[in-house]
Amino acid sequence: MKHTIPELIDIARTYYPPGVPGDDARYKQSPEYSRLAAARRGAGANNRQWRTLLQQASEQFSSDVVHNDSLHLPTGTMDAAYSGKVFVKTGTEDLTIAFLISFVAPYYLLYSHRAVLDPVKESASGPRFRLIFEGDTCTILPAEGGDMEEESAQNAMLIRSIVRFDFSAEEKLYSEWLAQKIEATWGYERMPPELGAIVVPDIATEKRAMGEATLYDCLFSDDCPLFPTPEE
Amino acid sequence: MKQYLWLIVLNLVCLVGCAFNDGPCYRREDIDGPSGAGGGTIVPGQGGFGDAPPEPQNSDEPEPIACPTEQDDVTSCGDFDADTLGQGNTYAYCSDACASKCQNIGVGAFSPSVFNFMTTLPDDGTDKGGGWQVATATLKFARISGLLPESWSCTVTVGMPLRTALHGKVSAESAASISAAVATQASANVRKSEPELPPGVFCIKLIAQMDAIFRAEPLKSYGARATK
Repeated sequence: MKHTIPELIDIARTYYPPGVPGDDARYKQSPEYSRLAAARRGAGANNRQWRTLLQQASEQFSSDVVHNDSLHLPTGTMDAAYSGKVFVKTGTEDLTIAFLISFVAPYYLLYSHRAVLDPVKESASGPRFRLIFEGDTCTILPAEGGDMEEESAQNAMLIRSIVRFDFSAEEKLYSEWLAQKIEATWGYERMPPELGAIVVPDIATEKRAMGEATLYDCLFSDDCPLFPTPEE
Repeated sequence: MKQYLWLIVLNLVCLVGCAFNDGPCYRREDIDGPSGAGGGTIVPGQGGFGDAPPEPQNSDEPEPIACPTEQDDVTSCGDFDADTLGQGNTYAYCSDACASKCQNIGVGAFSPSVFNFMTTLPDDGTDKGGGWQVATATLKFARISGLLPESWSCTVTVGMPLRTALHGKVSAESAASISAAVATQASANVRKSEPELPPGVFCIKLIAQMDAIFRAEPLKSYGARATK
């Protein structure tokens, strides 16, 4: 590793105001946030290498879809990394290979993502509700005694993300190609999961509360699904 | 001793009777004002009766309304103005008895008009995707669960490209329709899995669930993001 854990935490503290919650008005007025917003704009403006990688990936994985998840960077919002995805056409699974290249630290991140549907089971003893929508208002009503259930509630399925850092043989076709290209172009290292999952004390990101934000969230993106800890 | 017991019984009988039949009744909002702490307030159509205002009462004070009978309280439903829903400081009350009236105000989905997408980054026309558009919506929720109705709102910002590799151009109208559908389904998912979440936690879970839906098929190729 190019950095020790304290050094990585110091990098995070350069871009996120210590001790300030993400929903505090001081958060976006802080020099740390301004620094991160400027880094985003810079990465959005000087993105030739990134666009080249996307183009090459599109040619390499021509039967899949390569998505640029960093189109917003010139607006100065969201993420501390270039973010791309390969939507793998498996025919049976909802599989995505995600790749992120930090622009605040010399590391990249690769993971596979599967979305699975969990049917929602209602507690037999718990209260039951139904929803009434009107414009921007959603009214939740008790369902007892009524036989109405709105369609969306009948179809309620919690969508759960399964994220893995260890790739299957099929996934390695993607991950190894991407890793090789990123390392050859940027000279970066892959962030090991045991480091990425470290919580940065006293720092919040826009989506993660203080005490929840990890190095992954700070140095790459807090828009990623919650990553498993190495023990998982 | 028996005399004291009779007094207690008589007082109890009087209290129960008075709750429905004696004295003037006032709407809670006429006494407390239209809004309570923590977001919009639900105004019961006929429920929510409070104690009488303190003396003296004069012509500026709210007019008493008819007290509900014990039977009314269970089976009747007061009128409410459905047109005022969605205006932020509006009130709604829907018990089981009011279900038919609630049904008339519309069932199914948040309106796409809630998501007013604005271009924050024009599409330069290069590559397979480009541009960025954003909408910030205030999604309002009211939960009537027995005696303790609640209302709250969640502010959600959705960002989406103006053009993607798979879908080509994504109009503001399409973005709004997708976002409204996702918000609707996410609301149903969260409230059904955890019906009694406190409002703040509900909003966090709502955004996380919207993100999860955006990340999954069939929408993941739109590359949309949901944030606070």
